[in-house]
Amino acid sequence: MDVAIVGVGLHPFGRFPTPAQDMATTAIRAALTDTGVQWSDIDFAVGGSRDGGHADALVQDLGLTGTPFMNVYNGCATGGSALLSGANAIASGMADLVLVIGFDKHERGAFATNPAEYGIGEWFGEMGMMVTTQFFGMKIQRYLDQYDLDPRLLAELSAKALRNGARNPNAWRRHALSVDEIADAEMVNDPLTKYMFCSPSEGAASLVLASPAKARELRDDPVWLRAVEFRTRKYGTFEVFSPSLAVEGSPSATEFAAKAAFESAGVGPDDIDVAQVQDTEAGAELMHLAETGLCEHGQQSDLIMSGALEIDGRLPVNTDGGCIANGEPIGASGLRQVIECTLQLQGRADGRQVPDNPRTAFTQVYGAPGLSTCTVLTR
Amino acid sequence: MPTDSVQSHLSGLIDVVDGQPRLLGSRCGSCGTETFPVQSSCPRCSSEDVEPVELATRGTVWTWTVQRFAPKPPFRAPKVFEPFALGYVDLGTVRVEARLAGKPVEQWKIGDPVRLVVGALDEDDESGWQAFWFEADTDGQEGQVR
Repeated sequence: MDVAIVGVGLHPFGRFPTPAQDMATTAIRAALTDTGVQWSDIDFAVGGSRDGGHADALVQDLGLTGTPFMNVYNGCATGGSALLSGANAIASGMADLVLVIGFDKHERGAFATNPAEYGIGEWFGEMGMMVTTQFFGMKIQRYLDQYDLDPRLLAELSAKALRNGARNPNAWRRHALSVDEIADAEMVNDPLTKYMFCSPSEGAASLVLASPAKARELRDDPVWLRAVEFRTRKYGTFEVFSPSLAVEGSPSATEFAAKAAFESAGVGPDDIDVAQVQDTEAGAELMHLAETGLCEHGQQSDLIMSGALEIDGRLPVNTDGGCIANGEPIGASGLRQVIECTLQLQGRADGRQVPDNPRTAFTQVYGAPGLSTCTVLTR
Repeated sequence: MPTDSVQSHLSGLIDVVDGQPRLLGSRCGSCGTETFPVQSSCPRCSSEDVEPVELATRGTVWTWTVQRFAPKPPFRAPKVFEPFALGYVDLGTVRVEARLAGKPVEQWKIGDPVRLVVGALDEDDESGWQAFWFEADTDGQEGQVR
């Protein structure tokens, strides 16, 4: 894929009095400024939000230029779908300069989800099972048992996320906690304590994508989007909002999306210098490290305890603090990961820069009810 | 006191046979895949040749967790929320998600034997609103409609 990232912009993640659409325009203007272009230069735009309103309504503030502006939604992986749509607009020749936006503003606490939206009867929610956090607890409980992994690894991953978040001025949670403080905190959904979860939050993330010719006009350090691959689940995976599961197993949507992204980009997991993976909670990061191919299933302990995943380690993961430190405005979350990798590859990740000029990066976002988008990026 | 029927919101999910509850699922006529609840086609092979099937009433806990905060609506919240265990129960042909009862919430283990029960979850709910769950199977008795 020949698509360049030529500008990025974020509205910090957290809790703000600001309306969602104002956060979105702040992120968009930052991305346009970073690119050195005007909104009127954009010839295709795409965006998504769950609770922040319609992305295309932003044209009222940005300017009524007539630009095609498409709205997309795929749960927590909405940012991945927006990026894929934007990249395809360039790859198809439809556009030379594309704006991608994700933003959100969620109420406090776990998401309230209507079972009917997922094709499930009301009874499932009435009995108390339409809760994402339960799924995370059940999935990691099974995974820890299957691979004989120490639950304390979950606290180690949360501690890393909060350490990295403390170094990121755009993060929400900027206060490091010890492994003991995390492990001994109030249990929410066993074996996950309250500090092992990310919370729904607020924020916005925007990118400007360009064709190769346009990218060369705009900057001398574009980041290249080598692959964007999106998969939904196959029969036999263990996903959220499932009244029943198959007895036969299958690799997850992430495993198929990651494999396709590596193949499409022509690189392998060993080539990755920095990665952002979905850490809705610490168990998700633990499993996604293996599902993406960054390590083997059951081998996470060595990776975590050796310090390999730290910013100065062999394979830095979730260098901006991930979902755990940033919270999850779900329209924006997947784009935050791509922005963080872009900044790392350009040497612009102030305060948390991965050393030795990283060249190749990877992102993975996961959403309900079982879908995943993975990217590979290079300088 | 066992009854011979369930409330209307459980019809299609639960049947009562000789006073004992049965979960109703679908079986694919093409590949044999079983699902819960009933669906009109097979998620594995897309065949529309599916028919209703009664699922096993006993199984083992495949995974579990504890819900320690009150879910948002449409959860039917009792006046005083108490943490409850839930998990996926391996019935041999399919794994069904359900609440787990009959022992302290933190004592569940993968592999624990359980059996199906139907009854009122909340004794203070005057409508007697019914749910299904699996309870610890310590004596090998069949499940009940309560």
